[in-house]
Amino acid sequence: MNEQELMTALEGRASEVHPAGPPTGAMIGRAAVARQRRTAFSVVAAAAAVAVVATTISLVGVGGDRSTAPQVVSPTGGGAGFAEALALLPADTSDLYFNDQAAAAGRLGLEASSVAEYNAELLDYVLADDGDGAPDPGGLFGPTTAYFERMAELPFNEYGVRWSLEGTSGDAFTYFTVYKMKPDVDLDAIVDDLVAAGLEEQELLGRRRAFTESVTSVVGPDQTIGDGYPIEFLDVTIDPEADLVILGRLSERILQVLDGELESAATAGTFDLLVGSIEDVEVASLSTEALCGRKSIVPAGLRKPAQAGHLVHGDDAALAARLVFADADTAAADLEARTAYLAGGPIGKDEEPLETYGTYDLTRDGRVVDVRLGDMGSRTLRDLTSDPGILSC
Amino acid sequence: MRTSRDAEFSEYVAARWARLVRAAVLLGCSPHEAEDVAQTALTRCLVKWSKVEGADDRDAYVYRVLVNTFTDSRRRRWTSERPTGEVLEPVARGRDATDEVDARDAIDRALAKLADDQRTAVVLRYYLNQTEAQMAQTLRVAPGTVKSRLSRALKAMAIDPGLADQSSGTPGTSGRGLR
Repeated sequence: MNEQELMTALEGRASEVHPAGPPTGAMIGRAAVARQRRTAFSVVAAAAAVAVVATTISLVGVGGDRSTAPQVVSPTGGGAGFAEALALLPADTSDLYFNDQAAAAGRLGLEASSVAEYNAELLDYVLADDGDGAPDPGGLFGPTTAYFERMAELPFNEYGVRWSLEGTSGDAFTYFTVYKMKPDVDLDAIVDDLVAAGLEEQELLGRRRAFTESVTSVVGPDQTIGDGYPIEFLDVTIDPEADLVILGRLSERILQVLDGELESAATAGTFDLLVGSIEDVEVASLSTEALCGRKSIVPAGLRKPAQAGHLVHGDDAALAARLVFADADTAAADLEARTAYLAGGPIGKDEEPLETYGTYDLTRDGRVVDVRLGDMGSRTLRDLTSDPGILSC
Repeated sequence: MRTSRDAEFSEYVAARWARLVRAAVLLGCSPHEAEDVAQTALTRCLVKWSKVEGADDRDAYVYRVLVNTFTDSRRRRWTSERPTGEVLEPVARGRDATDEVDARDAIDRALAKLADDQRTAVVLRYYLNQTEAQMAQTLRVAPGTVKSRLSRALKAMAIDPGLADQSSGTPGTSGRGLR
């Protein structure tokens, strides 16, 4: 078979695939919107298949000068995790999802001194149900929380995670996940496990990396690697000095940031406009490109922001959303339309005006529009944060 | 109101959808999974459509996203079916089975035997018709790496007994043989 025959064979083979009709632009637009819906709640719901605790929260306003660079870092207090995360992200990171799991556990009173205790408390929390059927909107649930039971005996387990960070960087949409672990977690044991499971070991900028290009060679019939690592652990780099576990192909760039060879999102101020002066960040869902896609039904008059995101912060898990527009005129027009839309609805599962669910407030400062929500049930907050039409687009 | 960009994107999807899905199948997806991968790739393109529009080669850009999406789907998958380097046994066929079906089975088997990077290279070069320079951009590897992946893939396919049965029996006679 020569090259021409190979091309013919591939074309012939492909022609036997008859895909359904192409999706419409609107369908893909909705999918683009869905990419934003990074709720940890669905993960736990899928894992536990139970209703979960709802915590009624009250919200506080966004203080300070919103147009200035953030003062997020409190080196010894809350918010340190988010500052650490920004400091190791490449400056060109376009969107991120951050969960400070340890901070959330502390706020919610999940005190434990072992994996078993923590898992038991986590399960109790998940199984609790106050009737609202929605969990706290904070950062308790990270990317691997759904697997907390099956990973309990592994060196990497839910109890060992301080915070997690997922994101996209570069123009080819390369995803990465970073875990900040507790200092007593043996990161070398994680790599040892993965190498024993068939991954190759490599040194990457002085750190240990375990990876494989061949999924089939290491993933077992139960879709795990080794003794139960999720399939995401196909490319793992550790930095024991920084207590980091990095998944994905961007590990080298993240290490370069860590080593001071690349500019970080913190020093570049990549997310400054979205974070503002908010401190004690427990959850951050931020996009410098406002991934609202082609939302098929956009409430009349709402403008598309240039950047958007929301934060859960503080001791009462306050929720604040921020939309940054191209200019002040656009922001002013959006504020007027958004105010009318929220006042008139239909919003949320009951398709009512937003005031039906609780208090809220909209303000504008230059090209920035802030949305603050107060006294709403966690289900409503979840609905709102997962609907970019209200808080992000 | 539909904008011209919306219309342009929809037109692009309509024109390329089938090819993207089929490329995903050749990369190793089931037909259903291939549609998911293609739609995810297009979704990623949509949110950065200005970059796609501004790319020198729009298709090359989308192919790059497709390949990354496929790779991510393999790495992120947790509960779906196991990706496999083995091809399912073909459905039993009678003596009158067509040569086309045999050819399909042969190409499936041959592709499945390749390493992931080699299979991707074959699909980009011989189905999506990318040049080696474009492939280097798509895969973000050095041109020499593209050549070596293709070379290894072609050598493996040249000696594949299943494909040999399908060939004209004159490997390399065109001057562009697999060896």
